[in-house]
Amino acid sequence: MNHDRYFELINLYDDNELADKASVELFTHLSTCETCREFMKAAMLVRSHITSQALAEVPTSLDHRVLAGVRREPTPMGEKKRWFEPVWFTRISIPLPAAASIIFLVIVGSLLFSPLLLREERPPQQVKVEQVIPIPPELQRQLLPYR
Amino acid sequence: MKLQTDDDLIGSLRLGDIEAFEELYHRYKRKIFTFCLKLTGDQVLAEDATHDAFLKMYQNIGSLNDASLFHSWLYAIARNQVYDLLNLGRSNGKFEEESIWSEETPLDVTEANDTSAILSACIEALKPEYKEVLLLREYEQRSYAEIAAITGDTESSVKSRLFKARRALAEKLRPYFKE
Repeated sequence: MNHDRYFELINLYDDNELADKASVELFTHLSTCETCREFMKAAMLVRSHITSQALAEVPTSLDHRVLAGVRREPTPMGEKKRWFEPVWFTRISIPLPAAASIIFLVIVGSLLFSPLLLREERPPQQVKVEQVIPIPPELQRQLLPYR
Repeated sequence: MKLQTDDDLIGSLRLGDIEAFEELYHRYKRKIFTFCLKLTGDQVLAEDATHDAFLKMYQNIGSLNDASLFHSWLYAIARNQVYDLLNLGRSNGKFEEESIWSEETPLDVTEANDTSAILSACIEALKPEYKEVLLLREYEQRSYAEIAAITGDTESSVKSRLFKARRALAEKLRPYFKE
């Protein structure tokens, strides 16, 4: 009997890739086929063995080697950046001049517009016009001898 | 202190933040080293592959467009470093049908009664291209698509190799399961 088809089904079942209908077919076959049962046990044992293994410990020497190697490398952007440059670009070089510009504009604006704002409303200047009151004719005749 | 996500660290690393690299390194070093160790079966080669993989990661972080793929991307780099050190051509989909086992014939040893020892020896004796799919599937719980992305292969080829690796191991183990 060719068991390959069922080995493939077991493989898919192992990876949760088997459809329900095929699962029924597989388990029906497993109930009668020792070879396929052995294959399934072996597949489950392989998984169990691999997953039970702990992660290996990394030697300290490897840590030093990797970190020293990276420090010798140019930065991923191509230029060797200094320690303060990330902070410089994100917090100083752009925000600071922007803030300074805004403050400058506010100061200049206040200086330019403040005279207009502070100037009081003066009533129109009243020009004193000296009113010349004409001398009545009778008085003119009386004063005539005295000119 | 808020724990930074991988995305945050990758973003900082792109700006040249060495501390971000150190954090990523410490997060992934054991997984990558274990993967390299299981593939090579040799401590020295595994250390070299791990060192080269992280250096390459640092150098090429700018080429990673999607930070969510970082894990698979790092594994792909590690895998390629292992293949380079073992002087194997990177199969990358051009995989030929060959024996599953490496030159060393695994256990006709029946001296060992310990199935764990037998299993370890058998897995160790698999060729790297079979070992890697088995490790990525069973140990790392990667999907077929992720394994295909890491190995540069198609999903159907990954399934096929996985099947052959399991079948070969089952054949070796079957005498121990005789009912």
